[in-house]
Amino acid sequence: MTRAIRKLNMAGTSSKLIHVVRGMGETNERPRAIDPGELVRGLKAGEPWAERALLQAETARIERMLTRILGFCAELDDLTQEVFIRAFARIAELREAESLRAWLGSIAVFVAREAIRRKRRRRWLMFLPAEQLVEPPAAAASLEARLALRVFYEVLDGFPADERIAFTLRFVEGMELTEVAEACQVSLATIKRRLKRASEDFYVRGRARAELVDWFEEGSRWRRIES
Amino acid sequence: MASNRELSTLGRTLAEVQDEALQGRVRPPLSARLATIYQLRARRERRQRRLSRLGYGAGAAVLAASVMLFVMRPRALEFRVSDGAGLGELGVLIAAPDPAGRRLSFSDGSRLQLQGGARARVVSSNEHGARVVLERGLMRADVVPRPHNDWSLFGGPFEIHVTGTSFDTSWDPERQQLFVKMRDGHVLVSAECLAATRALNAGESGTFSCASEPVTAATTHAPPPTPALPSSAAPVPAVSARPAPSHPSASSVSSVERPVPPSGWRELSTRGDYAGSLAAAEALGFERLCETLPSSELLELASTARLVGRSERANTGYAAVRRRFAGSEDAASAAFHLGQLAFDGAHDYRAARHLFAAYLSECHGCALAPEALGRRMEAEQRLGELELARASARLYLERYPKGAHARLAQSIQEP
Repeated sequence: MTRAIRKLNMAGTSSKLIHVVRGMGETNERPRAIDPGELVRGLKAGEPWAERALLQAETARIERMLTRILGFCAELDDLTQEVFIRAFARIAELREAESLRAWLGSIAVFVAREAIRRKRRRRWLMFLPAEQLVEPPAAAASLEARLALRVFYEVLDGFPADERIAFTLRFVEGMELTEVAEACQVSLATIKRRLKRASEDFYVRGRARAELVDWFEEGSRWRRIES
Repeated sequence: MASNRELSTLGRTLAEVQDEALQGRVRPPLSARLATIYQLRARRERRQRRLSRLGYGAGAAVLAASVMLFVMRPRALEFRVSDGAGLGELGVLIAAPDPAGRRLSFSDGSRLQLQGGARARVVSSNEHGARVVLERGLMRADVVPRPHNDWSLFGGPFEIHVTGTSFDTSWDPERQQLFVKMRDGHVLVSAECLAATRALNAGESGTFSCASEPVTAATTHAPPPTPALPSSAAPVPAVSARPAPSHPSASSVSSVERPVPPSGWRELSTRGDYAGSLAAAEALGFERLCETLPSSELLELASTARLVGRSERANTGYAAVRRRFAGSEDAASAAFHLGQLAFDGAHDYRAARHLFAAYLSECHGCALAPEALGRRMEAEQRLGELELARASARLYLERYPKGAHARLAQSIQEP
């Protein structure tokens, strides 16, 4: 998916309509637009069609958010599922139908944060080394980019969870600062502080890794771009 | 720091790799995913209902036991600050800028009276007592005697261990001197630089320093009771690790060891009129003084600004010490005080950590090392850098197992 499409998807946090399938059929049905108000009313009433519709419309975005924050991980399906279980269980707390997507995003951030902390606890308790991330099956990507991706998340493993989340949503997912703040449910100033700290740390730790050094301006990649 | 352009370029490339992989991902059919979600949800609801049922029965018994335990539990001492609305908070700086000072009243009836210009923080408390760091100035302590009392007051590298007594104490961070004057009971004063723990009994007073010489300790008998802290009682030298100075009181120590020159701002500062002192320095040209004063006086001027809350002036002064007298003990002390300003004033824990680390690497006498290491650890904890904080905690407990930050270090090591 290109950056432009991703930006459009992000803008969807405030969109009026959600494209979903209404009915009990599989995904070959043609999506039609459902008013978020109608969808949220259905979710609050526990209507299966509404739960199905939300799952169909939002699964890809939630998977993408989780992947941005955590990197490729073997638990992606379970974590995505967890986001929807929590969303269905807590739908009564949602006050404005318009903020359904942003609210769901904040649940995804919460689940991702828990996953980071759980992984750290497990590693610490069992004296395990840092887990190997699942390699992305992206054959078309260059080896350089794939190596950078792997090392990028190895570096992020040393970051506090909240800084890692802000950093990945801002720079990998390409969210605006206000969107990152909304997803993390903190103030804009807090997000700016977290990003500043994370950027500083990333600069120090990232430059120490051969696979990433060229992505900084003193590296050969930038000299190529400038020339 | 990496620029946004660099990070966005890298992020964009990584996102494209991820998106390509996600697009090719095979998911279970929608109906299967939905069925799994419903199953999990039903299982959780059943478990919750079971727990609730169990909970109602066990809950009543647990509640009754909890109430008993709660009522009978040993309670950590609480305290109130004289002009504060609610309970005092652990770790928060308590300053007494005005001459009236501030009083800390503890729930066991003990009282600590900070005199004008003094600064302290209660760093921990339990059912037996509290640990209080006196950062500067004079304090009158009235600790109610109780069985198993465990009170410690810290001034720089010195610890005053109290079981129940009344005494006055002062800590001068610039001169690195602790003064203790007993009114009732007895205390024990210890520090790494002291060969042995010193006991002080009613009527005695002592001046302790380990900054300029390996050890300087003088204890003297003074006639009780003492109406005010700065005493003029005739001293009789009692114990001394080296030829003891014959100026046991806080005021006489200041005047003998460091005669105050006739520059107005220093006189006012010595008298505790920090606001007046800073105004006098401003009249002389604060910036000019920063470029001309010798290092110890410049440090004093910066500290005067810090004490009246003029952190920008304090920062300027301390920065000038570090720039003009790099490598000196005063430059190291300036790093420590800049760290305090960053920590307490700006809440910039990253800068504070850096400055406390600078003090620890530059200091010679290192009288403030326990406080610097403790606060570096606290800054690391607040930054969420728990691995670094644990390493600092380990080091702290190795070096200062009974230090003011020992409890915090233990809690960081054993989360």
